[in-house]
Amino acid sequence: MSRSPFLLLGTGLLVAATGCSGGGDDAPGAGGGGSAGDDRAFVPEGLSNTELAGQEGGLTLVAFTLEQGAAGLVLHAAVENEGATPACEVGMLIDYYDQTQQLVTSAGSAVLGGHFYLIDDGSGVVLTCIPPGKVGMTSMPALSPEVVLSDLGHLEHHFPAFTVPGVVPLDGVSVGKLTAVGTAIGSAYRGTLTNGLDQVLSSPKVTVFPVNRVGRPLAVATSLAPMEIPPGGIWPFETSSVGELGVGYAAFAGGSVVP
Amino acid sequence: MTTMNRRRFLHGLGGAAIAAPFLSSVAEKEAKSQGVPMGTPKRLIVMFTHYGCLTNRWFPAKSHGELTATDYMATTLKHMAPYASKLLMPRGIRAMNEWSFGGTHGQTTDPHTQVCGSYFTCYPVTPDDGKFDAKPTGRSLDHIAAEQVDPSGKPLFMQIGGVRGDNTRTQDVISWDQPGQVFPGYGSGTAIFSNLTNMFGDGGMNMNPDTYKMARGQGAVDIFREDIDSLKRVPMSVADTRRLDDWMALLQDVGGTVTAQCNEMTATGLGLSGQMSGGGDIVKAAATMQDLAVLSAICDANRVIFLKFPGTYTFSHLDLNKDSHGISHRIGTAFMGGTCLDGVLEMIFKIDDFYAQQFARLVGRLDSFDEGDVKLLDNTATVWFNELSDGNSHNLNNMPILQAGSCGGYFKTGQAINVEGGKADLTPGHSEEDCQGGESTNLDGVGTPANVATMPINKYFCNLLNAIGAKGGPDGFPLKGGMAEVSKFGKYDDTKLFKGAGPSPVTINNPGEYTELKAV
Repeated sequence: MSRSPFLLLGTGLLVAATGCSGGGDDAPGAGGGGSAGDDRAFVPEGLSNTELAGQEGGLTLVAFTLEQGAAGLVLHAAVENEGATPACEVGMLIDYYDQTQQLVTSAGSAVLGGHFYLIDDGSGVVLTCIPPGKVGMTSMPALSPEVVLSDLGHLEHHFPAFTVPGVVPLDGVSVGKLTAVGTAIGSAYRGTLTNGLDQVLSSPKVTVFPVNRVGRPLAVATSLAPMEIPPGGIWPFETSSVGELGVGYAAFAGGSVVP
Repeated sequence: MTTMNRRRFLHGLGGAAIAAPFLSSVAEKEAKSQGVPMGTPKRLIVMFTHYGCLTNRWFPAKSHGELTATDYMATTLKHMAPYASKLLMPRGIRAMNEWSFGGTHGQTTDPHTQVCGSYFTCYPVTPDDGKFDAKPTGRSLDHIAAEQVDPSGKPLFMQIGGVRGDNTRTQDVISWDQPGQVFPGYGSGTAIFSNLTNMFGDGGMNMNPDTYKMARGQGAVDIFREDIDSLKRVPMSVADTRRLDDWMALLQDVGGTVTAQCNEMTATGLGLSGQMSGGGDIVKAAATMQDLAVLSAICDANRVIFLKFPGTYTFSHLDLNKDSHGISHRIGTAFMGGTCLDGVLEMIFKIDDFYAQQFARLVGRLDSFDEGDVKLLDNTATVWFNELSDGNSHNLNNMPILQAGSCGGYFKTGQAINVEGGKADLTPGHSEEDCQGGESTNLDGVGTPANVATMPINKYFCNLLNAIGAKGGPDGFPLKGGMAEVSKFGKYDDTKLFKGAGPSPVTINNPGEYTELKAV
């Protein structure tokens, strides 16, 4: 799998990245996921993570970090929409196989698109989508502690998603520039989310991924609130902590837009 | 003979012996304490498949009234035609917690995660945004039923093709022994086979003295003559003496039918051996699991048996090179909407036809064993449940459900019964109207209009529970040790209440069974 070059665009920050490769036999060996300044798009290198046969097209895995977390293996991934239409309500499913090709476990999570779209059918339903050419990100829940990184042989993934005719961009929700602040266990992000829509945004959520030089997500920090932000309202937030800040970040706004 | 051997053996006697009120030297105390119903065992056997079907090819034209072999021959269910007189097709039913973008008929979590989580629980899943790891807040039908009627207290849940799903991926998990707790069941037949063969011998295939005598034709009462004679010498009331005589008569009947078949010969006849084959071969794996289900029923090891086919499976033996999920979406991937695969409707039909053959095989096996004056099948409700109605629309109204067996005369058979008003011309859906012009665009239009065929599946689950002898508490919900009929199941029977992970309290608007499905 190779990518060259791509733009990583969250709602908050643009990160330029260079091309790279992962999973090949000539990869220079696996390493920890925490080297923020490196150029690796796939960590651990050498661990193949291919799209499930027959599922190719549209969405492409462009970077991932799989590393040991406090509760088990955690995976953060970046997914690019290479299609011509928005990919909506995207998910990512991964099957983990050991070195004897036996399925060890599976996991899945929603891929954050950070962009709101309105279904133009009068229903008022709003979706989150990854626009064409843009990158979404996801962070999977920790795997069972019994799943050990060194035992893994390869991964297979695919992306359930929707191509919805007649969706129109609904611009207006934005995350302002973030500031990193020190915490007892690392760093957190402070910033503001602005609801520039004509509708109320309820249960707002901001998800921030610190990234390395090529846009590989290194960790995830979140902030959410059980509240409603009226049109034009601003929500100041501070995220949970991450261990490292990388060289940049990608921030994704979320929440429910009430029709 | 060890006590353990006899206990295991007596489990195989099928309810009569284990319910015997007197013989403290055997296992009836244990069985009584578990509340296992007496009499000929009634079983619930379920085959579950993913991604719905081409509904307009699956349903017979007539939605209410007698269905003959000819009616089935015109459909995907043609393989079921030989059993037409033993089939019941409940029509007009909606399963719980249908997905849509706007949450019109349930949660907005995921088109599969919330359906599989809620299907047999009728409880919402949480967290509401747990796209692939949300879990139901209630227990599933198999466990609720098994704790009351199964000799082991647990269902036999078999995942054909291997165990799928765990806490981090629940998209195709249907069995929940506790709220939010995945029940993996068995992914291969070896362990099941080992358990079963212990019932007719130590260490696998070696028969113990009792089972050997049974296989040679000696009656159960003769085997237990010593125990019975000893018991008869114990002073007891006239009523107890009468009960003992009744029990001996029952033991003669049941022991001579069910138990005599719970042996190595039957296992061999079913093609089962200690070396389970199948591996990645779905056809062999399915056959093995089905036969284990049959053997388990014969041995009365389990009265609640669920078999599940895998999701996202590439049926290469059907010359398909796309997985079943992608094919159900018409475009070959997990995406929804886009350019349809050439010939995709025939691909879906191939899978539907395969499943129909599998169900026919299972039903045929069950119908090939005598149990008293009837067939084993007749003492079961063997039901094929589809996850969805149409696989692209992901709708849960107008569910394709097919039952075989009357469960001891509890259900009517030989007909379709439309529980939504009894109309005989209920729509079969619009599955073949997708991909017009080569594009899959009108997802809602290929299902069944949402206001049609919407009677809650909860009531059918009440039927099934009552049919196998489960009981409810004073409030009508299933309750181990209860005395009443089961009249309520799940948290909601109105799919709209599931939205937002079900903030409303437990609400069953339409309690009771579907009386129109009952024979008497």
